[in-house]
Amino acid sequence: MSELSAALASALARDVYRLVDVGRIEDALDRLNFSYGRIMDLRHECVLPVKTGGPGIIKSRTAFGFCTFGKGIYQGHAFIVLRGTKFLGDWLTNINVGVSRSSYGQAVHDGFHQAFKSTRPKIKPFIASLSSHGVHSVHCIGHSVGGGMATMCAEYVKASTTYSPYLYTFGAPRVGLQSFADMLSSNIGSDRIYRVYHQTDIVPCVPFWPFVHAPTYLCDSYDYFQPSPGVFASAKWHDVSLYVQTVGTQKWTALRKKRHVCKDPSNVLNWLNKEGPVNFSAANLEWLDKAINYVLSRCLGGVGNTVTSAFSSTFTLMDQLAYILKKGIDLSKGVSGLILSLIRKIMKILGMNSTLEKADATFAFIRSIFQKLAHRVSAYCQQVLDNVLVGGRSY
Amino acid sequence: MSSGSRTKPCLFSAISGVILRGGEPVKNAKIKRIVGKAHTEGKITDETTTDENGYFEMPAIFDRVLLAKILPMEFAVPQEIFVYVDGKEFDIWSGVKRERQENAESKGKPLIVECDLERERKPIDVSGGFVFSRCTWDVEPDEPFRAEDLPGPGLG
Repeated sequence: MSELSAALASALARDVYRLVDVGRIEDALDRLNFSYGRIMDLRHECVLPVKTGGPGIIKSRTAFGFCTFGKGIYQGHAFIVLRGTKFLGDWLTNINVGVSRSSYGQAVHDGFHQAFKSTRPKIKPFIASLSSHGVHSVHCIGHSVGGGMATMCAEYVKASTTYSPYLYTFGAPRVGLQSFADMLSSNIGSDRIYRVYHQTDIVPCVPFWPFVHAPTYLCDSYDYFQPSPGVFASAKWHDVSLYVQTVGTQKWTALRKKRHVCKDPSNVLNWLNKEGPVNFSAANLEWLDKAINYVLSRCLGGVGNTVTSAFSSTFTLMDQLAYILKKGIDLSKGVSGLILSLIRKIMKILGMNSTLEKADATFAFIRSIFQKLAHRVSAYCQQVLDNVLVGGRSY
Repeated sequence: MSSGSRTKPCLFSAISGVILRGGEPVKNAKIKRIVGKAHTEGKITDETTTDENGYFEMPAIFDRVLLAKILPMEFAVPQEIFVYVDGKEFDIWSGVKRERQENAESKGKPLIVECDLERERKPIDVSGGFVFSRCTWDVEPDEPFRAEDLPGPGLG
């Protein structure tokens, strides 16, 4: 393994923000070269442009990152570093976002996909020249939406070359559906995915289900969960400087050991069946996310999530989820109890009376519960964002 | 810190000082300041003119974004100042502000500058951002960060 240190990966994710959409790119490159010039070759042609905007709306073309070759002790390494966007909020609170096809034909968030596609003309020749530069290791790095795009970029590198890139993300949102996350995990290897996130960073919580993170192990063996203060997710813990601070000089092995409870199937089942009130916290949303995926995989007989555009285009993602769960209730006695437990749990989280009999769990009812959940998550995100402004930041 | 700076990100702090050329004050020079918006597309521009002593002052610029649009995004705002004298343009300030607080450019102190149009542009890393400037002001630069000082590949 020739992975980057956590300190270097997080510093790059932070400092790529020095590339901004006006002013002098040369000035930013000068300061980047001051810090990184002895380990990589940064020139104007390394800068990646991208078109960004809200979902479906391309608003501007900006400097969005760089791709370059390593030198010195990083000879033989290639770096693709991407930064976040000022239009993040448009994506976070839009529950009607569409999906499109990734490099491996998997379903991914259309906004991220369109943004990544606009960088591809510049990344493509860079990737094509990797072997002629004697590259043996490729690193895709990003914070926030930049992390989401780095994830898509890692898949693109794998699909276009013989390289298995390393992927480092900090506070990245969810990029694709289960099949995308599964395929990325197995294709590039979960041990090459370094997904660092603060427990109370709002951004990794969204977009909510059916979007999921890679790697996809239920036990979370390979994510880099980091405790952060508070019960509820906030905007503060999304700041890249706090990620750099959290990472500090710790090694990856130390950063991996921060999770106290393994979210494996037995613990997910315990959480689902636990009596008592359940509040709308960041921790419970994470449990719920795992529970939905677990129940869905049981419904589908372990063949993976088939939520794709194979359904009619008029079927929303929530329709598809409700359809699969309703089928599960009707067809399998073994999983119907599990599905009802899941729906009751969601009703509790939503503050509803959680009394539910099998006969009441119609397609329309299940869909309405998931739509309520999606709206609640969206409203919750908006509330967090509003609170930041009203209360100000605590630092 | 004022309540205003807590509730609204500061794009460019209040700045005042003198414009010199070869050490002599430049009077009646037009000064144009351009700053990128933090959360939306576009720029904000304002202008002033130096007085008889080359003195100028400009107020702080805050992000005038709607309440509901404050986002968990990184704050990385481009800043520029140009001075126009005898039909020539001088770039006296160009950088990126990386902290929301007012006076981040001077680490909390009032931003009072002395700029000489004939001085060479020099970079300074400050509060996580940087400025290339022909001005001097009272601020301690950030500790230099060098990537080669970190553990190498495979050692992290």
